[in-house]
Amino acid sequence: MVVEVLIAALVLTVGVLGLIGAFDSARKLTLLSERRTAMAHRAQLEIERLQVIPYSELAMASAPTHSTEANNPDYYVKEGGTNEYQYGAAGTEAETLAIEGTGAVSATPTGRSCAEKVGACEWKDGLLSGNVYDFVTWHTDKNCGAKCPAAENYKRLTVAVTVKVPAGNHEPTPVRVSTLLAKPN
Amino acid sequence: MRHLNFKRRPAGEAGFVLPSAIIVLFVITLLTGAAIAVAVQTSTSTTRDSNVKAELAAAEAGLQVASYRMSQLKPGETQCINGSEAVTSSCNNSPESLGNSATFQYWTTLPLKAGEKCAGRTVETISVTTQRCVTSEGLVNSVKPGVRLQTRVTSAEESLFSVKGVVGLKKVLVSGSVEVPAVVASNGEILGGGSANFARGFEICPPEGKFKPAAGVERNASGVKIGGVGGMLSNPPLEKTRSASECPIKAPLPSTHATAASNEDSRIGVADKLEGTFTWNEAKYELNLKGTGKLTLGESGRTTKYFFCNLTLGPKGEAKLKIAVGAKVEIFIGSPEETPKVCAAGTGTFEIAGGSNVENEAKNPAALLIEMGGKGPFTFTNGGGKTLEASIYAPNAQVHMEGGVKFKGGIVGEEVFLENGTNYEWSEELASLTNGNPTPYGRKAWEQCTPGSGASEGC
Repeated sequence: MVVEVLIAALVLTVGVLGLIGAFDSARKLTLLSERRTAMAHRAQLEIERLQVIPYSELAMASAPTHSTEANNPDYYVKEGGTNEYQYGAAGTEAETLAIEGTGAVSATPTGRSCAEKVGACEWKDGLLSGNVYDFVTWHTDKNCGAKCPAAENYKRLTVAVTVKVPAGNHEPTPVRVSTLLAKPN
Repeated sequence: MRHLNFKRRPAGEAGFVLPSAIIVLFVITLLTGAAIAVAVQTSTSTTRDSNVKAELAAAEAGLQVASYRMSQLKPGETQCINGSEAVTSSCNNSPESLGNSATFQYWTTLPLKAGEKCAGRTVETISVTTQRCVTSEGLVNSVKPGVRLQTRVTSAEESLFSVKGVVGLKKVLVSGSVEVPAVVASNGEILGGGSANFARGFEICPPEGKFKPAAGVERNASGVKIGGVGGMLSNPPLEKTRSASECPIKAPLPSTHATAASNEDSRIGVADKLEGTFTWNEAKYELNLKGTGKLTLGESGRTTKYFFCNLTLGPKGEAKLKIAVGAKVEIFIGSPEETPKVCAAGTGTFEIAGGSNVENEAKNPAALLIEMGGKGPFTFTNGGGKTLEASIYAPNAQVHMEGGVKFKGGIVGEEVFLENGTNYEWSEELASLTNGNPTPYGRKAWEQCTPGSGASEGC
């Protein structure tokens, strides 16, 4: 009898511990999903906000600085002051940043609330918060043929959104959304 | 005797604990599985949602690229575009990469006809405007079905008269008792004299563009008014300096004008009635109507194009140039400076003088387009209150009007002079006159297609 109870207790303990572990993993996964949903939503919102800025003002106000942290969107700003941004996975997929002093897109989100500023900013949504990074680059249409201008046919808008997580938590990779904008009539 | 043993367990409880624990464990396992399944499903949905948002941006990029390429490649009425050229079939590009595993592909159409559908709306005909449908699909990480968007884009032909009024590319002079109830624009000087009233103001292009008399003392010393305001005052809403993108004002000659080689001058004296006193040198393209000379040009329901080196009405008598009812007439005055030389030195002019007159029965300035290739001049003087309804497009020539003439229409000249009682009137009917060059395609309607709709360009 005693042995039976001990074995049952052991089985239940293992089961409950497993349950706790599984629920914790599910919670973390759900939390990650919530964060990624908020980030994707914020990225789409930012793309739409950028698209209404006049084409001539759609440029970086200053050059962003390269970051050594792989999870920082500025990691893809090329080193060496070339003012290039890597929009794709390969290192060769890089374009020159459109930089103008009168540009509407800030190079850094620091101190800029998304509720007040368009361009790079700090976002907050309920308990979640993070940064929005915007990059405007010149895109050359290599498929258009000889009748198209040879360079700077479009501006590429790339929005990268990060989220702040408590120490020790898994940090989701930034959500990146990209589109092209042709010069309007 | 039977003994009762109260310490003995009931026989049914033997082995009860472990099975119960296993059953509980089984229930726990089920709950755990459900929790994990929900979390995984949420994660999958989130990933898909992120990809779909990126697909929306990729599809939008496809619409932008297609519209841009159509503006550059300028497909004709029987053409659409693929990735790099105007074609008559296979109106789509191959999927193009946007980076980060995103691609887009677009489909374009031939010009749409009234009644066809695009972007959820039925197409209606718009005058001198080409309408096309563009469908674009974005794909990210091969998440299907991709997001598909559709737009209706339009391209109007450029108006010959981009400024609704009087344009003197180098100079405009409005002097005497002249009121101009339309915009007066120039890349150079706009001069006001006498009691000139620029009722709708003026537009100048820096750095050469200047208006004289300048507001203040200079204007105060004159009788010139801007929108009725004169003296020391200026009238800022009507005194416009055009933006860099609007300058300089350009006025290229349309490529579709009549030439010595391509015209319908052979109608003159045949289908086009020519009577009274006149001199018509067909070989030299020189016509002079004088005295009672009278010529009726054109044919109802179509545009007829004529080429002259010189066209003179007057200077004496009451010559008449008549535009047939319902006809549209384009007259091109060649230039003696042009090579190969067609027009003799000293020609290249169009003159309406004395009691001569142009009779445009429709009273529609768009029915008579007078284009000049050379330095002109075009002169309409001493009309004694007679009216000319016409469109004058002479970007290299001087245009003179004076002596109480009435003019209704648009004027583009290198130098324009409206003097001594000229009565000017603009006409919105000139919007139908274009130079044949399409403007860039712009978006008029937008729709997100139903997920999974259409195998190719459908929505």
